[in-house]
Amino acid sequence: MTYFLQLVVTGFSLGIVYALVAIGFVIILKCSEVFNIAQGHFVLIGGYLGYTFLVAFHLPIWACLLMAMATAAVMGLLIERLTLRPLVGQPVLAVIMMTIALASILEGLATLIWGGEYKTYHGLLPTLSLHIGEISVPSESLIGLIVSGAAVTILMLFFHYTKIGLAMRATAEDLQVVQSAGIKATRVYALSWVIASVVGVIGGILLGGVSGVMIPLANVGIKAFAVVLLGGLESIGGAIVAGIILGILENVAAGYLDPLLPGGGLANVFPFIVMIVVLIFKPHGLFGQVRIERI
Amino acid sequence: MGRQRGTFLENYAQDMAIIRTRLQWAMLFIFLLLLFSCPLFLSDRALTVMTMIGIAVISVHGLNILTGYCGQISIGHAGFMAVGGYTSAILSAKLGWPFWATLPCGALGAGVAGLIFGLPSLKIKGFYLIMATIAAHFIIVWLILQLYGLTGGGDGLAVSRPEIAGFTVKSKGSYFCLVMAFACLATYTAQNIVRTRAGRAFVAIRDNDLAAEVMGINLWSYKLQAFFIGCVYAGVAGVLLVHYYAFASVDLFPFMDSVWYLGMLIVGGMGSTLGALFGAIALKLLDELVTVVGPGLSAIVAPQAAASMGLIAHGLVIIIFLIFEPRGLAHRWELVGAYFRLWPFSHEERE
Amino acid sequence: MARNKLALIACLVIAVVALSLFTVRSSYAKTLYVGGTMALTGAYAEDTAAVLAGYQDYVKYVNETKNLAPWRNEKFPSDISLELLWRDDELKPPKALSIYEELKAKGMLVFRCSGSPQALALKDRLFEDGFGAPSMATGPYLLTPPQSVFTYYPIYTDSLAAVADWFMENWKEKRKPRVAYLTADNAMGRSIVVPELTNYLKKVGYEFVGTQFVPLVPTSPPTTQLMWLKKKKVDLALGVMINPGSQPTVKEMVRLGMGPNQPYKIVFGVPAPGHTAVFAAAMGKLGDGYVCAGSFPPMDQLSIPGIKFCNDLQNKYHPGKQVTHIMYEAGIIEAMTQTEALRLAMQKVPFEKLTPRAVLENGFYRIKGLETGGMTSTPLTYGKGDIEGIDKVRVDQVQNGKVVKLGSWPCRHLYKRK
Repeated sequence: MTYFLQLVVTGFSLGIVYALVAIGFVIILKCSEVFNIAQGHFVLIGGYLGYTFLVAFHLPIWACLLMAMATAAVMGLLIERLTLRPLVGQPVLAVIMMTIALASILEGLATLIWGGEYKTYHGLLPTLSLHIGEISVPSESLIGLIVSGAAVTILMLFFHYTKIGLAMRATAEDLQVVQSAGIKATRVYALSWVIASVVGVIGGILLGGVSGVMIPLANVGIKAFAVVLLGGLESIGGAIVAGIILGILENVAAGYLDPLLPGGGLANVFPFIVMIVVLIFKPHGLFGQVRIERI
Repeated sequence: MGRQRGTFLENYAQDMAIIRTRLQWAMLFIFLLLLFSCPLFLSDRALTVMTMIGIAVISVHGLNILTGYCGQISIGHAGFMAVGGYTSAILSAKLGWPFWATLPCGALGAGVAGLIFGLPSLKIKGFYLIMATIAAHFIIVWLILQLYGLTGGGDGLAVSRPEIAGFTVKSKGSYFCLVMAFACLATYTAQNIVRTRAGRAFVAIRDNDLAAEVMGINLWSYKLQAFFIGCVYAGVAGVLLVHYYAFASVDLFPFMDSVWYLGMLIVGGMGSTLGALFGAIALKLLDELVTVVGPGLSAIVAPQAAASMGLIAHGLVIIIFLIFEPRGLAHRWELVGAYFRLWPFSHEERE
Repeated sequence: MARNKLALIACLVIAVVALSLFTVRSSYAKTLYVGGTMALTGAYAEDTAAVLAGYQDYVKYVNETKNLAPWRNEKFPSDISLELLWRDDELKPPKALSIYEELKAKGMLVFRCSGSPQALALKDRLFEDGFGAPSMATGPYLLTPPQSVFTYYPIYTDSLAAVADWFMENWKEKRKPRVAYLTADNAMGRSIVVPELTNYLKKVGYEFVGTQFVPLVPTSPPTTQLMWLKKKKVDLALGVMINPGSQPTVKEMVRLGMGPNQPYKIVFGVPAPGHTAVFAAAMGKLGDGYVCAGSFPPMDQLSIPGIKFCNDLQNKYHPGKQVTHIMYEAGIIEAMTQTEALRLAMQKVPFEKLTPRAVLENGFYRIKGLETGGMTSTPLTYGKGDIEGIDKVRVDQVQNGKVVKLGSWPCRHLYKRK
């Protein structure tokens, strides 16, 4: 029983990280209907930024966060203006290929700047430890929970009560109406990229503190896609719920089934198996909108 | 399609012909002659690179039918290649089947895998389908690692060199000819498949699937056909790759390869057989360029520059094509061709 | 118009590439090449960068002084210069293959393999063409014939056998110790999951529990796998991991209260790619108790002649830009082996008649007791069918944030397939 509970708790903390990556993805998708394959690479850049500011520049954690967010904002703006703006109105494949190309360039830049090396900043993030009986809750998951909780609250308030937030939701609904109402769609797009890149970078700093930063860290993005599909493409709340569900499912399944399998490693593919099942039986996810198409 | 002035098409057969004039026949003949005599005058290295290009061409033709013509985007192509490669490897290593028997089995195996993972495409499209095919890649690789007794898991599986009619295809030159024969065959069949009833149905599905269904096209059947055909090509490419190394390993089919196959389509031009050809050649040559100049660059800039340049160059090429030439090299080729046909009475084309 | 120019430029670039492919450069007089493929992209990037630096410095050293090492009297022929040839294979076997063909065409007589996938893909080809090649990937697959890929640290199964030997010697309890594999989920990590090692462990008195796989570079801590070890009451966990895998694993172990100095007693042992020197530098006291077998002495132990040599080379050729990664030593050793093979071959075969096979048979096979200044566990000895250069395994442990040498154990040569 302890084993099971520990698996659930660990899965939960894993799910929080997935959710944090997935949120950024959903925001871009909601506002500009762009499937950002490079979201995992924002996380990667975030991890390296965390290393740079915490270890190389010896900044305190709050300054590191601020600097990283500022860098992320600039990065998001540049990416949107230079690569995505020319593709407005192009078919899905072109846009997806663009984000794949972006992923490749971000990976290349990370290799160029940080040498593709394994960088760690163990023990530099504030640690909280929590033990419930024999179960220990990872401190990172507590921090992750706080950060993603804060992120979601801020985003919710932002989308419901600010003018530009409302504009962003409206853009997601109907571009033409929004434009005729005098809202600049390009500004909405730019802002969505800024938010997504900031969220990704924060996730990266958290993850980097847990297991260090290296190029394969970007793979976390691929797992986040499964989260997004399960939660429904347009739902931020759905992404969080789905992230936690998937994290727990993955961990429990791996914990009990891995020893029975000759090759093990179930945790790595489990999100994909869930993904296929969801796609076949409930393609719009748990909280997604069902789209009706017309000719 | 432009043609030399003075060429008249008098009946249906002439209208449908791919190669119309004697000059074109002669050029094709000379090209094939040159291609297959390459082992006589090219270095081993050039042959290796061209063999790799040939295998990529076969694979990209499959992806072109699936994605370029039928609009079903797949980022799991390397996974399907792995299915084909491993099917053939297992049959020849464990059961001792000859190459000519394992090749069709490998192709068929990949085709069936394509059918299975193509099933969700009946309900979903666009991004959802991309996700399904990404999942397909990871699930296939994981399954290969699980079936340790059959596939050798992470150790891989040693495969004998192909033997055709008592002749072992061992040297680089002979394997090059084998791959090129399949590449030519693949190009020929790809060009013709898209001109059949099925090919036209694929285009209709790509352009508007709802309208296509209303027109009486059976989406269920044609989407699966596209998956099957596309993956058969991938299977053949996988078999050739595995036998080229004489070794099957999941590392031969990395996930990023699937992505770059799509990149080749973008660079070459979607929905064009010529485009698939151009794209595969262009990106593979870019890859070689990056490798060759890598050490020099890293001496000048920084040690890691060689590593980063490959990634950045690939990304940049795709971005440039997406923004400035979304119809790819094939389109550019046609424009250049038209320019020379009309010369000297041409004028700048307007866009 | 602008687009046509763009197209023209693109065509030119492609033409230049094609030309560069088809022109075969004739090799210059009296130059011998060392080097091979490097995996500067991907999980082994950090290790390979250090190896590359080692190669570069050693080649400069030989060309300038014609010495082979400070502790050796033999000279490299003075009329022949060494040149380093290398390409980045991005950890992709297809690229490694085309790089191999390219370098072979340039007149290379020796080669090197970067990671396990490359070694697996190139092994047969190297043997067919008669190339001898040192490799930093030392899975048991190298021992299956054909064999012309040479290692300078023990293969992974033998390293782990040494860890098991050390652990057994210090085992005080009456019951049998329980052992499990906790290893990376790739060709390198899976190469130890073979009956030979498991049978050996059972033979020396262990109870074998099972296997758990961790991604090569985990994006989340392997809590599930560690919980399983705890549940199964494992005393010794063995696995092949590189530092990006072992650091988060050990960090998570400490958090879960597992480790030699923790409430739940367990020892985690890995072979060479999980070098303690790199590990201790990043983890400090957090990593106490971590065991690594078959690695090299830390780069700060200047009393060892090999380390002093590394340090002198670095001060001479890139002062201020010290490579502190332990694989720098591996680069020196590899370059030294390749150079030695070339030198030995030239004693039997004149320079003009050197072929890869001649270098393999008259060079690599004749390397006996090559002194590495204490960098490898024992001097290197190669021969036909003897690709494991050493016959002792050095075992290190992290204690108080520092690397402590526990001793050397005999190399068991466990893996004998076919």
